[in-house]
Amino acid sequence: MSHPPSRAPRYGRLFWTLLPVGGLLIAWGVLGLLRQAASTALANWLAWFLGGLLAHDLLLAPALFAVGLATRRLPTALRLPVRAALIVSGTLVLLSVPLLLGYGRATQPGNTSLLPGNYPLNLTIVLTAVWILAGAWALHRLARSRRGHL
Amino acid sequence: MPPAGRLSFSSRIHHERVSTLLGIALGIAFTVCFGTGLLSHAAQTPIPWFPWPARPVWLYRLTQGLHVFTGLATIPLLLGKLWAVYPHLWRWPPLRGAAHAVERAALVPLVGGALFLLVTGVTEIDYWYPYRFFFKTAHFWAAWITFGALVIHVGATATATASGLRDRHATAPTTREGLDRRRFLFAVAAAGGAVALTTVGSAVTPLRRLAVLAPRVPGVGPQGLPVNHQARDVGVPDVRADPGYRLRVRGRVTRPVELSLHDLRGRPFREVELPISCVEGWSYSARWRGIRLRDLLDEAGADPRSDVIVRSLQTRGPYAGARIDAAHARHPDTLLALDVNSAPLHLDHGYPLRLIAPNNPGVLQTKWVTEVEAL
Repeated sequence: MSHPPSRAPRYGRLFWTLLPVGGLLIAWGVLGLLRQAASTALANWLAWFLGGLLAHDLLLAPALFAVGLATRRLPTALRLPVRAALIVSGTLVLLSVPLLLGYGRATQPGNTSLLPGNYPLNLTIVLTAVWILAGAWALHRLARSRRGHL
Repeated sequence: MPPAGRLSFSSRIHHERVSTLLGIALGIAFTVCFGTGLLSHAAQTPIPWFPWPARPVWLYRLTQGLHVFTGLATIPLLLGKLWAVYPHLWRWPPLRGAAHAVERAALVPLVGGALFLLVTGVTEIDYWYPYRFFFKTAHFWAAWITFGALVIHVGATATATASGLRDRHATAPTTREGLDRRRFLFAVAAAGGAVALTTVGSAVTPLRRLAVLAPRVPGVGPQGLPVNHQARDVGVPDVRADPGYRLRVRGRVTRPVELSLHDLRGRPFREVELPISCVEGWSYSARWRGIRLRDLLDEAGADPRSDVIVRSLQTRGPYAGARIDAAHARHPDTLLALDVNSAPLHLDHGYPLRLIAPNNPGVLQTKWVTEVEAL
């Protein structure tokens, strides 16, 4: 199927009903931030709030786009397994950054129950498993493409 | 005008149905996180019209586990969704009328808030504080803002959602494009599953060996229990050799009680099995032995309807005392425990005495207890 034709979004009754509801919830959140300004450190809060947005839109998304573009050069049989493995391992690496840096340990020296794992090793094992699965999938697809199924 | 998906990107992933399905999953995930987050606040801050129950004992363990692990598994969903809609960011013309301007403006708190909640949530459970705000209040108010923006977004995209759901051809396995889109959704879901599988064992004990990317592992810590704050971090004097230690029951009581460690050990013990359920998502069950709080309060002649404040020897940190409502304080399983898993409490688990109450958030299970005040 081709893409549906682009059209102007329609804003029905639901939009105009939910708009004030959502607006009130946002206002309640902003009010809370202001009332507890001592612990919410507003300028810093805002820097993180907008910083995340800018970091994603201007750095992460273009970087992902570049990676996606690079995988287009791969043979068809390899492309999907490689992309799927990149999505899974990229997520796991992102999640593991604070564990690998291990700054949390410094907040409580001597607390052996805090970040107790050998995270570089654990992440390596998990990523190896992910890529072994992706490799098996790719081999299967290669074999099929040789037989002319792809 | 050609559709934006083709204009900016040749990838077949940037399709309405892909973003619709991811959007629905995200809407559910964020609603679960918002709801369980509010429950966690209700459990920590007494609300007169919403008393937090003492039963079932596993309730907070479940709601807070859902909060943290749903949030973690949402990371690839959010990134996948943003990837699918990214071309819209650069769509031209940027605004088509007032309603469209409102919809786009609401994307700032929606996307900014969603990223903020996930980033601060992850760094918090990993004990990394690269920011100056206090996590709890900053995360809480950001959640209201994000959820409000989500409500507006749902209203604005309801029509597109309905048409995205009807357009089954878009992910049908019979076409190349459909197959690619299905596989993209599959890969994003697999990433969420991989995150859940490698972390959820810190709350689901049978899976604890799989918790290889979790900041806490059940069974790891003194006496097999993780420690949230060590005695030395919150300024607890070492009372192990101090004969002057006393537990005092005071406040609105008719007969104040004062007990030495020797007196405490000489009283009848009760044993209960209760989990420590941390606000950071991990939880683990243990066997606790000690004195019923209810018996002490009765002995002191406290009003059965009165809340109590349990105070600690700790001199620093926000949890030096916890207000416990009457329902929890009077529950037969609520103990001032001296032993865990058949041995005296480790100093970092609250030696000589800690509170353990059913369905009570971990931060309110006060350690190093020295005073109980009836209100």
